[in-house]
Amino acid sequence: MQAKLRAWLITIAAITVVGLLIITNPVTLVGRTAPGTNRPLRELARVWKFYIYPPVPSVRLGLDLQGGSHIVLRARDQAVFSYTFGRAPAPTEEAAGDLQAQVRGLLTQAGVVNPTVTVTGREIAVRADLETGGDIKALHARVTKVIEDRFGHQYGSLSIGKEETIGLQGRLQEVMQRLENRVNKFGLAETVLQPQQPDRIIVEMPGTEDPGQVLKELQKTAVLEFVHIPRKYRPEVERGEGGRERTWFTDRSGKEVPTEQVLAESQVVVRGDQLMSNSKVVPDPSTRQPQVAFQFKPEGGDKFYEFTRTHKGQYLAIVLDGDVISAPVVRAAIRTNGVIEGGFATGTEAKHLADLLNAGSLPVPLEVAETRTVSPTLGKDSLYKSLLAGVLGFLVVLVFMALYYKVPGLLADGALIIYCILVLALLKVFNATLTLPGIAGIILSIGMAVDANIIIFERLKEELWAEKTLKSAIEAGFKRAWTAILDSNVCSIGTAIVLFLVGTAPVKGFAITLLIGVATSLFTAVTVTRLFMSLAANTRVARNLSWFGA
Amino acid sequence: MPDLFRGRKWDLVGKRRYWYIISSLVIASCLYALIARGLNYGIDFTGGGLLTYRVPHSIPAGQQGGATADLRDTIDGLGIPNFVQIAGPPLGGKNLIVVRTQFPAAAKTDAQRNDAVTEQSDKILEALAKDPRFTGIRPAAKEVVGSVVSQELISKALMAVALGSVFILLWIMVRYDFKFSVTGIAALIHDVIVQLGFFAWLQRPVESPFVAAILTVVGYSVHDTIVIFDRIRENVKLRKGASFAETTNISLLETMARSVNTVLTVEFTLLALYFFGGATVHDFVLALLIGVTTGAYSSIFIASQLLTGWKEREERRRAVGRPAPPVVTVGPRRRPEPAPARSQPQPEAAAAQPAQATPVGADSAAQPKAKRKPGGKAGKRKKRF
Repeated sequence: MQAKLRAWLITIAAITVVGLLIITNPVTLVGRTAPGTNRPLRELARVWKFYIYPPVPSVRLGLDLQGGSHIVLRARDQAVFSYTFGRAPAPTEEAAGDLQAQVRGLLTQAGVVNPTVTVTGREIAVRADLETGGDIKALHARVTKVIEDRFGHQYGSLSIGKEETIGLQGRLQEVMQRLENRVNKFGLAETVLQPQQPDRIIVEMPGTEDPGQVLKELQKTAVLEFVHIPRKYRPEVERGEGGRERTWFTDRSGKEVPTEQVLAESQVVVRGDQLMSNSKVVPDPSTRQPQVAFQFKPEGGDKFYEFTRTHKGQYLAIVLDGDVISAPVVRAAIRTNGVIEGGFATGTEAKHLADLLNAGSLPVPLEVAETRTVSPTLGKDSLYKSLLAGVLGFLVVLVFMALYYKVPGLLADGALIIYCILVLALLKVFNATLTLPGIAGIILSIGMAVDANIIIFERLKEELWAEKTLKSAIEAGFKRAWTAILDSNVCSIGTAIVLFLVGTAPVKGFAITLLIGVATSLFTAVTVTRLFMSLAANTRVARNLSWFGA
Repeated sequence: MPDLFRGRKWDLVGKRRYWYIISSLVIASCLYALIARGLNYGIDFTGGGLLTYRVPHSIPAGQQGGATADLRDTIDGLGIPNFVQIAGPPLGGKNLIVVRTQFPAAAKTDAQRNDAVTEQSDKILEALAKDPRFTGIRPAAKEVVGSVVSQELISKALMAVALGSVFILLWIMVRYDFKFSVTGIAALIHDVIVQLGFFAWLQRPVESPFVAAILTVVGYSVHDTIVIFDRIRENVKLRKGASFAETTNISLLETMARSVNTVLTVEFTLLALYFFGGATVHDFVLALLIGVTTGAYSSIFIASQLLTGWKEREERRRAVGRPAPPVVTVGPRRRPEPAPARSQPQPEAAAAQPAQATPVGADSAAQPKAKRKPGGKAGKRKKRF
């Protein structure tokens, strides 16, 4: 019996020590970063492969406790509709351009948001934004009505293709990868991205109160297009402030035409997704101006070759997210290698474009759905206050248990301290972030964790009042309290699991805390307290039963 | 510390009617508040902006009401629909000014809404900085929530509560029986209504942590009820002769110390959080305080009492509809004192029999209400224990 108790004691002591090591994390293999950041922390010493740090509690703090910005980006859903005619509605490229602009105008009038129209051969494709919470069928009907009103049976029978949405569904991982690329490339370190199914991305920036700049980089769709400019327009270039070039268009009479209109009438030749991700900055051999050199993938190269072969002397525009970067004239047929001579003011600007192209484009624009910014001052304040409250509440519970239940109460206090260590360690193992409601949850769980002890000790008292010996009273108390403890905790665990399965992200976090708390309290309040009680029953303390509540 | 509950002989079950009346009044007023005043939904549910400013000094409690009204007027004057709150720990400390704003009607997309709230924030800060009471005011936090997020939050929270309740219902049904699970859930619904009702009365803002608070209380309430149910189940086995009312009363008294001490330890920690935990968790902790208190109350005064009422009707029905069953053998003698030897499911007979001395010594069993008419259907029910 004694050997068994000793084995248990050693096990529990070992678990507690491991818990403490996990919380304070003084020894690691890979080095440690400052809390909430990617900055490496200075180690105390290095022994062989291990980094040694001073044992400081290190739990990942939520943004509400350390200050910073929490942003939820949501994909703006877009829809694509296609219509096929019996005959091609536009005989020439020029006519197709005019038709595109015309249909786009009609759609805008009909209240369709951000429409883009592409006429290719017998097909017209319309791409438009789906309003927040909008219905794709209704939008389809609206677009179809515009098309039917405009064309009727002018070009033979009209067949309507199936509607298609372009969103992040199923492509979240791909988009995450591209955003991560940007974060790494642009040195936006300390920005943490997290996918949230089905179509959201959480951006966390510890310590930042103004997330604007980072967001601007992340929200760029970075869709690069090589566009054929209709022959009736000519690009003009002006070198503006700081050496940056501005490109605009004029018609035959020399009057300026809005870029938007020109682009609406133009045909896209190749898109940026046909570029290999090895674009880089090279200086112009003669002027030393920075340029971005790129390489086409085979398929895109073939298309571009075919186009450049047949359109010599005409203008192209290289467009990034609706902005014309440059508008070169086609001089020779190009298959693989090309250069964007965008008149970049600085090498950094050119590098930025190269990085953006290499990081990859997004299938849809991202919008900010939610912003939560907390100043570091308020965060520190909240952390300090909730820790103070936690320590106070904890002390009150310890004192209450010791006063009310005497020796068993003190033993339960010991178990409660182990409980706190284990909960914090488990939270860390599960990589949970400590938020303000999370701390409140843990503090609450301290109050609830003693419930099992209270049930047991009340039983113990009853057994002692029935004149049992201490050992048999302890035995009976634990045995008979067990069904109540089991049934009640199964219900708590069940609710926590349900919360975890159906809850939204913050509720999930809370559910994990609750689950860890309940499971740990079962272990400490039953197993650990029982061991302590059995050990105490063998000491001199056991001679005075009134110390046990009799 | 003296044991306050040892040897008490309160008749909790006999006074059932009073508990029902108290609970009905509380529930009615909560429902009234919910219907007439409604919940004050925060931005997590409605979408909108939540702007928090920090004042570097403490605004005396007496002045807070006036300051809040002035703030509201100032911000109304800017043409921004709002809800204002001066939050702060009751025991002094620095104050936070929390302003909830709505999106202007013109802002349709999420991006426009974000910009609109930033603009609102600047305007409000400028206006408040002029007020001498708020000198040194600084923006402390800004939150903007598009409405898409919030709809999902509500539906998922409701789903979580519903599924959680179904799980609890099934578990108690498997471990106890149908009546235990239904009355347990009834107590749980009572707790949720009281929690919602208090928030409707106080017009405290309801944000997403409130959902977590409700769910915690759902778990806590059932947890608390089951400990009492467990004792009732045990005593039914031990005290074969006693009426259900008597058994329940004894079980309640036996577990009273535990019920009170458990809720006390939880409330110690919550009160510490409420008074010292900072303004940001104030409402969350308040929701928990209300819920935990009503959770402890409902286990004793609702779940157990409803269960007794239901079981008593069953006892009466059986007494009327069927001849008395043959004498039952002695149950397993797990208690030190002798258990009653015979089972006599006649309520009057059971009540007349003097209850056995128990460890707690509560033998003042309730007299079943003999005047009530026996139930119409002579149900053929099997006893689950």
